Amino acid sequence: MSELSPARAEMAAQVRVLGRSLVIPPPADDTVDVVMARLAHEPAPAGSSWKRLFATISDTGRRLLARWRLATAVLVAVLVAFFVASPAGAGIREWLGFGAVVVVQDESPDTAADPSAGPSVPAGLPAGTTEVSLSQARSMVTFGVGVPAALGDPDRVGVSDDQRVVVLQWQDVGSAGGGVASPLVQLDQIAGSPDPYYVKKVFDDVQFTTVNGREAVWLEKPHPIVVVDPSGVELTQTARQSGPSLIWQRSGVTLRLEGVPDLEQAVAIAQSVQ
Amino acid sequence: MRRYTPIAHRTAVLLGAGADADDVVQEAFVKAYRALGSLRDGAPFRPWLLRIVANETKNLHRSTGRRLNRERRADDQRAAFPAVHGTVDPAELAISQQEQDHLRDELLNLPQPQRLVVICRYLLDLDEAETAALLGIARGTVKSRSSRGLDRLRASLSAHPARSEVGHE
Repeated sequence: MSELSPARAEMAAQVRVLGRSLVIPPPADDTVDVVMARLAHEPAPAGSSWKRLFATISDTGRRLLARWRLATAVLVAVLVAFFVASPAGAGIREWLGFGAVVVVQDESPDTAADPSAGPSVPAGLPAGTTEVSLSQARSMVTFGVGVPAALGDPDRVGVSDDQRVVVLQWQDVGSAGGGVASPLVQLDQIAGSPDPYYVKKVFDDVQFTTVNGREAVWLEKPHPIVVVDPSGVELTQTARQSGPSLIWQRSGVTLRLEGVPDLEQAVAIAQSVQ
Repeated sequence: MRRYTPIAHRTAVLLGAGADADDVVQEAFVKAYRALGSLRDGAPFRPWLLRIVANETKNLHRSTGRRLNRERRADDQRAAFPAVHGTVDPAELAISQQEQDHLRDELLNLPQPQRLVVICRYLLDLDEAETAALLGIARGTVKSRSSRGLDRLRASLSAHPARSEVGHE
């Protein structure tokens, strides 16, 4: 540092040069996957700091939260500022920032929309999405669009106006496996980008699992989900309840499967994406 | 987690985990995840994680140590410390490879407390606060050990210049 005497500073500089000359092999490529596999089926740590992290801001945020539909933009600004300002927040977001999806743990389950909202995927394509054919979709976006062999060709395909998301929907796949699937199964494929596209607010455990040996996140309970624009503002008109969903990544694209309430079945479908 | 893997791995290697560095990092991530609740609100994540890495590396030595005697263990730790690679960056030609080898040896000869501080500060590029958090010591201690370590390195380098290094143990 600046207080070092010239002799010590010179020595420190030599040690730094040595540091660049040491043969240090790169970490194993599969480190993250191995860890995620080991943590699969482990619930989020109890009393974990990201919960408390949230609690620390909820003194001011809780009342806003109670009316979160009205105040999400403000809250997100607070959250974003908090995550950016807090190194701990940044670290923890690493665990839960998942490609284009950010999972925020919320301590106020009482603000969840009424349970009758149910886990069904809403009929029709999401707002801001144009219906196209699968091949049109493939030519419109810059990333590879995968289709799960387990579900076959989708019944409906949409591309978001900003061409960041391709939405595939299947009607009545309920009988394919568990039989309890919602009438509609939806697979979102979101272009890889440092900006989150969705914010999910979970009140309960986030479960880690794997898809083809790679990290994945399973959100079992219904939870609010909202689209975020590139400047970080939640588009409140897009907010809705999401049913159980599986999130994973494939070739830089974030995939989100909704409408399959059984984890094993969801993973089987995810693994069949080609 | 991806962001922290390189520094966690480098820490494990430089603290002597050798070929077990990947295992150490995986174990540390698993433990860190389980212990997230014990991370004080607002406390920086990186040194906290690296401290777990350091402890895991130490555990590795301890379990190896049950089977080996002390000298053998020290030799193993020395062997686990990375070597200097042959090709030298032209910008760094001011210091020959021989001198680098020599510096590496002298660094490993430092008493452990000084060696750890020098490794954290100048090989891992951690600042004083991070080094203090990683090693669980006061910032003042980081400062004094770092100064003493650097002085000692300088003294031993001038006492045994690189040329007479052949056969140096």
